[in-house]
Amino acid sequence: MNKRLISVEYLKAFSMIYIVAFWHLLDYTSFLTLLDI
Amino acid sequence: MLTNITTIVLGIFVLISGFLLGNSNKSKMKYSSFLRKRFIRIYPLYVIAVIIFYIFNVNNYFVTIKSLFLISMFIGPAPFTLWFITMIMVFYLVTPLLLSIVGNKLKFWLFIFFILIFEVILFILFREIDLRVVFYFPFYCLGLYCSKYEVKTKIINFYLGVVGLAIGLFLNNIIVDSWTLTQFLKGPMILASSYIIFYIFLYNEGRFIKLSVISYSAFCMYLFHRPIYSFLINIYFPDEFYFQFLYLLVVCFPIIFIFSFLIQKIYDYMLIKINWN
Repeated sequence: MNKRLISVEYLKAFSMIYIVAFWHLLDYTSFLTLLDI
Repeated sequence: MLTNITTIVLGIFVLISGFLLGNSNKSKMKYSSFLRKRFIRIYPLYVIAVIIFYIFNVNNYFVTIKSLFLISMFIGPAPFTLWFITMIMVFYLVTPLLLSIVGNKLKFWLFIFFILIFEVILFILFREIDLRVVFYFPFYCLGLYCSKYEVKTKIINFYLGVVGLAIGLFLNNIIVDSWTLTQFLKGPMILASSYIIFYIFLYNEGRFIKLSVISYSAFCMYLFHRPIYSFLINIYFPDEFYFQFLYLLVVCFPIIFIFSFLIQKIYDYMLIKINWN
C-alpha cells in the first residue's frame, strides 16, 4: 500500500478515537463540570 | 475550545474523504457507477444505524424519515451524529462534477465559490439548509484538490496554512451578534488547522507502519458508537468519576471497536458473496 495512504489512515484512526473515545468520555462523565467548562 | 477541536477533527475527516475519493477516482469514471459504488458502501449500514438510533430514542420519527431519504441537510433538523453521513452523501453527489473540473484550478475554485454563495443565499432565503453543509464543503474540495495536485503546491502549502491560521485566529476573535456569522468567522481558522494537521501527517509518511484496523472500522465506529455507549451505560455505570472514565475507556471503547470491526467485516463479506462490489 502507498505510504501516503497509510499516514492518512493513521490520521483517520486518531480522529475517530478522538470523536468516539475522548469526546464521549467528556460527554458522559462529569468531566466538563469538573473543569467548569 | 473543545468544540473547536471537535470541529477541526470533523474537518480533517471531511478533508480525508475528499482526498481518498479523489485518489481512488483519478481516471474518468461514470457518474452512475461512482454513485452506485458509494451508495452500496455507505447507505445500507447507515440505514441500520438510523433505525437503531430511532429505537434508542436518539432521533424522533420525523428526523428518522428525513434521514432515511438523505434530505436532512436541506429540510432540517438533521439527526444527531448521523448528520455527518447525510452531509457527506450530498458532497458525493457533486464529486464527479468536481473531479471533472479539478484539472482547471481557476474553474474549480470559482465553481466552489459560486456554490458557497448559492448555499448562503439558500440559507438566507429559507433558513432550512443546515449550515454544516456550507461550512464543511470547502474542506471536502480542498481534499479533492490535494489528491490531484499534491498536498503541497505553489499556492496551497504549509505557509499558506500558517497565514490562514493567523487570519483565522484574528477573525475568530471578532465579536458579532449573530450566531451564524460567528460560525462562519470560525471557518478559516478551522480550515487552516485541519489542513496543517493533514499536511504534517502526510509529510511524515515514512514514520508510519501499516496499521489499518481502526481506520477500517472507523465508519462503523462512527455509525454505532452512540447506541452502544447508551446500551453499555444502561447496563452498568459506576458512580465514582474515575471509574466512569476507566469504564468508558477500558471497557466501552474496545467493545465499540470490536463490534464495529466485526460489522464491517460481515458487511464486506456479504458484499463479496452477493457479488455487488
